[in-house]
Amino acid sequence: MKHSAFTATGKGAALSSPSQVSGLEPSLAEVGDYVALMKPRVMSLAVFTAFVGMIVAPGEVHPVLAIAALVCIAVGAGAAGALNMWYDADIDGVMGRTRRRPIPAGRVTPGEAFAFGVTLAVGSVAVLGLVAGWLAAGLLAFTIFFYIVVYTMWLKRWTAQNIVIGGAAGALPPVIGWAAATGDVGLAPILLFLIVFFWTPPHFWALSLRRTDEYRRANVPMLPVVSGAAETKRQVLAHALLLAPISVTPFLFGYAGLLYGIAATIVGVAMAVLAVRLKIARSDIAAYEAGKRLFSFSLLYLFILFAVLLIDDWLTPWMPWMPRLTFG
Amino acid sequence: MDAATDLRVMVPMDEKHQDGKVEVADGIVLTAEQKRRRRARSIAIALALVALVLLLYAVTVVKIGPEIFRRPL
Repeated sequence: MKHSAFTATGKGAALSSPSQVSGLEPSLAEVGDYVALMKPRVMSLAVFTAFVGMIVAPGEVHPVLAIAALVCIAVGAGAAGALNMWYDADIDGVMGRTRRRPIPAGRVTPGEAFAFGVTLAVGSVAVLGLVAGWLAAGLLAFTIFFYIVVYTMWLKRWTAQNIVIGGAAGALPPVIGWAAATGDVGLAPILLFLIVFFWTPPHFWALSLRRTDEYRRANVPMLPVVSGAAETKRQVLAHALLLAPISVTPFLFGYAGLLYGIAATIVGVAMAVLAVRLKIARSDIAAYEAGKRLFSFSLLYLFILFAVLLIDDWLTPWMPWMPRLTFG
Repeated sequence: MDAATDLRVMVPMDEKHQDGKVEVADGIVLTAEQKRRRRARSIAIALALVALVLLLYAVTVVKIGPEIFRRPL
């Protein structure tokens, strides 16, 4: 990989005027701008996977504690989103997809976003520790740290493997949910982690294939910018082919029933087929459409997989005849 | 400057001291729109704090349970 051609272009959004530093500038932010800072769509994915991790974990969690833990995880994810927007405001300002975000649009100052993110991060970790234990809180703190420091500040501007390694942050919520419910971490939540971890690269590369020029303009070394579209399509296919068997592992290891096993196989094959179509697309238009379909399906893929895992868990007591692999 | 920045109005602000002397200094007078946004933010912060109090109260009751009532008065 050619990493050296790209260097970091910014070290967090700078405060743009002395009055902003002294706090004299009146804030222009709407409440909705602060909601937008928390990246609600990313947050919803984190909450959903954490919820599934919490529910499929052995034992029972009191509904109040479960809701409180999920609120903390949601706020922690929102804090990570706000701090990411604070640091990446320079990149966001030159990309069409992100230039209307609150900081580049001038509605929220970088200092406000930073203070908001840090407050939410500290608050969510502290309350989660009190509610669900310090293992879950520690994992949440690590997730925020990893997303901001390792991914946003370091990997994103340095290597084309940014989202491969950085995907670990997005893959941790089901583990946090499991830890909040049980107080420990076993093999099952690690399998859920691996599913989201291997799902992330094809999901983001399918998006970045359609935004290559924007990433190039922003000096972000996404794989299509550094290695080209052909190599990216090859990597998408490789990760989709890895993802399919990994998605079935909760069934193969006896943590989920046949219903999940069948669903995971079907959506895994569908994802691989879409990745093959992207790989063999000859024209730019065909590749654009194939990438768009793969990106849309990847969102559905993760939702179906975790929703079926949840349904499978709920149905198990009512369907004892449902085959389930057991060991030992 | 975009439309949002136009909302900022910098005007001289008179400051009257106890001795009756009036000093003219630069200051900021919020526009009606800025006041509305500040009020909305304040309400949102208040609601978030109330939600946090209720959350901690509910969690305390659930974690301690009936023991919360077994204490010397």
